[in-house]
Amino acid sequence: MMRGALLVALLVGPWLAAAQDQSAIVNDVTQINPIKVDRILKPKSIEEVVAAVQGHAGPVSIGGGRFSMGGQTATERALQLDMREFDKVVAFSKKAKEITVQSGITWRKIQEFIDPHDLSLQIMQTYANFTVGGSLSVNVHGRYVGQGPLVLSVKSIRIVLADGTLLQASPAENREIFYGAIGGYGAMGVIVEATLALADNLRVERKSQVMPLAEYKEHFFKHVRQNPGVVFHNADIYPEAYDSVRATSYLKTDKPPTVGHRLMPKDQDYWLERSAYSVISEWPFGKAIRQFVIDPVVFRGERVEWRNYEASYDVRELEPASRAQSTFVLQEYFVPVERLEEFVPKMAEILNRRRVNVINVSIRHAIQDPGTLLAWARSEVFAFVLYYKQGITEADRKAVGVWTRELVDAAIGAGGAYYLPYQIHPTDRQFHAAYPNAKAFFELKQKVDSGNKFRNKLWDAYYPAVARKAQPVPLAELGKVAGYKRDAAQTYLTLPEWFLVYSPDEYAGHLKTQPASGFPYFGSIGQFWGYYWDVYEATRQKYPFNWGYHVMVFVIGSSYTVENAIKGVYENVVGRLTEWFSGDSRTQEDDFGARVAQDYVDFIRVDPWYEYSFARQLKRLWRETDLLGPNMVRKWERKLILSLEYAAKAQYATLIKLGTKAAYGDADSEMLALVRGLPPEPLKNEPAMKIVREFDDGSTLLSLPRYEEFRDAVLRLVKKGARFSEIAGNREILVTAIVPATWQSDLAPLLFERPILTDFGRKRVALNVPVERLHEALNRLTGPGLVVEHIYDY
Amino acid sequence: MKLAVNKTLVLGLLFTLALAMGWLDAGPLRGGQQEATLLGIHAVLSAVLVFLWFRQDAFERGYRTSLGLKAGMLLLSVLALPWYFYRSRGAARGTLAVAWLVAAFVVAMLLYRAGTWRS
Repeated sequence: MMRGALLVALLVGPWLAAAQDQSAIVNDVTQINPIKVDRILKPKSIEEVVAAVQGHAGPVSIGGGRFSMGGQTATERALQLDMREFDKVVAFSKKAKEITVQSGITWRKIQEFIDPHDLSLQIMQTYANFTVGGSLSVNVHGRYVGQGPLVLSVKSIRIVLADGTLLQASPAENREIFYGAIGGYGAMGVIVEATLALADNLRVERKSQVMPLAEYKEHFFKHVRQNPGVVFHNADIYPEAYDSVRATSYLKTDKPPTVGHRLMPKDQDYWLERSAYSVISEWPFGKAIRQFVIDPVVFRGERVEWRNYEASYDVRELEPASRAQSTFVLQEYFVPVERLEEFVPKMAEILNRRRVNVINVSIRHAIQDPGTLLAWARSEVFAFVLYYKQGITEADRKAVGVWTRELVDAAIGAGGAYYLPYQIHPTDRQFHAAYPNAKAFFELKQKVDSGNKFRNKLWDAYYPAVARKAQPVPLAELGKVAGYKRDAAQTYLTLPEWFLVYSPDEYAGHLKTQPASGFPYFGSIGQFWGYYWDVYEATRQKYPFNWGYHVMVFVIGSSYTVENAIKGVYENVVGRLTEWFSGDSRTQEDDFGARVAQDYVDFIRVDPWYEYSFARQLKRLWRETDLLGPNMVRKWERKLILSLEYAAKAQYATLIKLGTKAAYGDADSEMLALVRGLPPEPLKNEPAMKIVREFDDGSTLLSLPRYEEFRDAVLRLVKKGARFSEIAGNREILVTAIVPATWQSDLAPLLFERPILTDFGRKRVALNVPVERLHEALNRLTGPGLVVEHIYDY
Repeated sequence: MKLAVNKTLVLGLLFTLALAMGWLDAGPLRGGQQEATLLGIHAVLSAVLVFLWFRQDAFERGYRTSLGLKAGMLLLSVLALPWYFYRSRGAARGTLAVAWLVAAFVVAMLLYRAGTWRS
């Protein structure tokens, strides 16, 4: 059933075609990339293609089934060439085992043609609905062992260039065009014909086994890569532990087929497969149900089938009942084979941390690409095909963008690349890092398409002639940008909330070396209310009273007060007594409590406190600390009091979470800022930042992450020479810094200063900084003993 | 109509649940959101079982339970149970009951730990 996730490029979706034709809105299988094109033309001959390219003054885009997932087949105001009716077999030689086809033909149609001759395609992707032209444009790969990118099975192509020239290209003839057009996403011209290598159609027997991920690489190279009998192979990594795989191979056999069909029957309803995907993606423990119930059933027993059968899957088995609320999406990453174990844990960490609803991660293998300019297999690689479910709102897409850029960085960091047919989230820097020959690719495009006729969303994003063009948007328009303006008073009012990060931070720091009883619980309570009074004073004359926020601060302040009062009394009575029993030595539980305190602080710097899983820590406490050991009195006293604390906080957090979600909904995850003086490649190594717009006066509207990451992002930008004009539409912003107690401020109006209770040699100062002078303040606050604690992002 | 519940059986179910959760936690449902979902289910089932135990105990003692106490028992049982013990049994026997509560909690956590040993 799973057969791994798939490579989807430009597939044919006839059921979509008619509606799209009428409205001239082009979309893809995910239904989240609608693009209004000028016109759609369905050529049936090369002459029609040439005439269209020569005759259309604006951009030309090329589409197959529009199953790429980021607008790779269209751009606004383009003439879209819908190639699906350009689908004839042009020539065939059984003896030479080759076939020449028009590029709009589907792989399925070729299979129907060659199957009676006992031939198969040498390389294609898992699903047969793709058009050949689309597959060539993205240079797909499949599950074939010892093979790799599709280009390896292409003998030649014919391509219509921007001036209407019809050119033959192969590894020996016009090789530059050949290696630029294949995997070139329609940038060089319209591939109209391709001559493909064929192979014998054999019977294959399925062999499948589950193993720890750690054993997979050895298994692959010992039993798969070196075995000439293996035709297909892939391995599915089971989410969400990502530590075991199901490795499935199809080996040549003389046994009679157990599957009656030579090709997969067409027009099946696939209700069983679709239901399974629904269970996996939506049910509680769907992933475990798949791993321990569905897959063992699917992979039971002997299965012998024809190679063409295994290569003729229909993408309709993946189609959800509805894409109105969510959609199934693909991504793919490539990593050199020797770095598999390095990449997978990073991928798993990102996917789990970002709570990605992963349905499957399929490992494929590919040998080195022979020379395409946008080669994704620059060496022998493992491909990781990620199939997941996401929501369709703008917030969902932004969230996907953040973790996608993290995954891209993980792949690049392992010497790999990411695949381009999917949502266009990666930055320019990431694109060039993953595709180091992109410069040569763009030079070739400039040579053969100097007018940039062949366009689509992918090249609009990365082709320098388009991507870096400044937009003449007046600054006054900024106020109309969605999410730009935020309430100015929030820069002050968020400070008490942040104190609930600073105080646990002090607490965690204290616990690393000191017993819990020495922490100034009651002094911290006083400081919280003191800070609250300070910001109240700072805002009450200037801004309308924000009832909702003040009530919220009162609720969290009261909780903080009660918690610290109880802990203060307990630790100074019972805690001190058990400390006395244990002398100077610390128990495992003391250390565990200190680690959790730090983990909690690290968590709440980014996420709301009530999202922290105290219940998980409770379980870890009982799993990871010994039941017996030195200082038994202190040990069990800590075990029990930490258990009580975690259990109570787990229940209380659940209550607050329910209330908060009901009252406020989810918070924004990004902040917009207007910046000047950005250096070239300003967002290098900045996956969480994004350029929203560039203006004629040199200003840039940047999307920045929020909260703690906002501070770090601002500090890095300032270090690169950036100057802020406005942040969230505001001209003043609150900054706190930790400085020596003797430090005096002459930077900006000082809102207040208070001592650090666990270190009286330092103090916290709060400065009211004009945004235009933020860089000065931050630069002055960089030095020995000075720490910019936070920049309050409204 | 009051449905009678065997308190010992409820306690046994709580212990069995802890053992099973340990096994699932370390085995088939480890990692990511599945672990979080499992935690949620454990919390809900535990809350329901604790509530059933409390309801039966209050019934047997003829203790009139307020809506607030019922809600507290479902949502914040860590604090509500000791409160109930002191209110329903008085200081001395309430303290003893709290000690039994701590013992039961320790047994549950030890069973959870035992469940994880398969990994």
